[in-house]
Amino acid sequence: MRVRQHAADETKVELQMTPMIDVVFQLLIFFLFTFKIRPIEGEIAVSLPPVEAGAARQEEEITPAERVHVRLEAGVGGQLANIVVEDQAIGTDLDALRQLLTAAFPGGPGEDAEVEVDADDQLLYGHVIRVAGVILQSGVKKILFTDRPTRR
Amino acid sequence: MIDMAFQLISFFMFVMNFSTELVQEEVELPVSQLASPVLTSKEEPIVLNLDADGTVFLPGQTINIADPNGLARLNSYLHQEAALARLRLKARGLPPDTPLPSTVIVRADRATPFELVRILLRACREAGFSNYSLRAQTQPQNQQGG
Repeated sequence: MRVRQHAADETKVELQMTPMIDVVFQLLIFFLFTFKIRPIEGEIAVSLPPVEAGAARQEEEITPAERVHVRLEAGVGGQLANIVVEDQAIGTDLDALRQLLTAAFPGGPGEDAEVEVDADDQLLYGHVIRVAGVILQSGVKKILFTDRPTRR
Repeated sequence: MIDMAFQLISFFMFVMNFSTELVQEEVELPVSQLASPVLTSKEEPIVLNLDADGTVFLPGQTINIADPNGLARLNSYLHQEAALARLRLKARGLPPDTPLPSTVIVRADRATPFELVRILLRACREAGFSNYSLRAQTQPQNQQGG
């Protein structure tokens, strides 16, 4: 058995590239599989007061002066058929809705301006959100949804 | 070649989002470019995913709120969450009738009849929640089926 000389000859350590590349590919494949492209979500913030269970539809004691009532009527298949702003029907024109809302508040919608949205049961949610977006665009910051006693 | 691989890895590492946001992929959110961007994550979020048939996807269970049994289960889940929120308030030393700081994140499908959304909101209000965040997609993007 030959005794090797220490230190002098065997100091060179070679880096094995192949396992390193394998680990790199493993990492890459892991990230590839766990990568998920999700659409960015926007939000419409709504504040609704809590109610007692079983209470009838809440009647507001004082209707704030700065509240406009908008009714959304559903047509066939849940599509938007008509918009009624405080008894004025404007069809489905969202631009007209925006202009009417801006004009409905004297001096423009302020911080306390509220719109109460009363949508039909069959109306598709997508249309309600579209209308809510237009309401926000007209400068009104607070939106409420009317509660209807349609418990099954 | 290895540098390319390192580039790719760095890209994925920066883009990775490990937060579990309880996003249900089958729910197609309505499109609204006018929805406000979600800038900060909510402090006490409760995520409710609702699809067009009235199925609510909760962590660990699936409930159909179109039938009364499902609605009862949803109510019990919401009351549990509200009780937890109240315990947290108590731990912070706040009185029990303080409005709950929790935000209910409603991710409803664009084809959901509004009646179901109304039922959901009513159930949340009965549990004591007052802050809601109705989610929408800002870009009209087709989501892949989950």
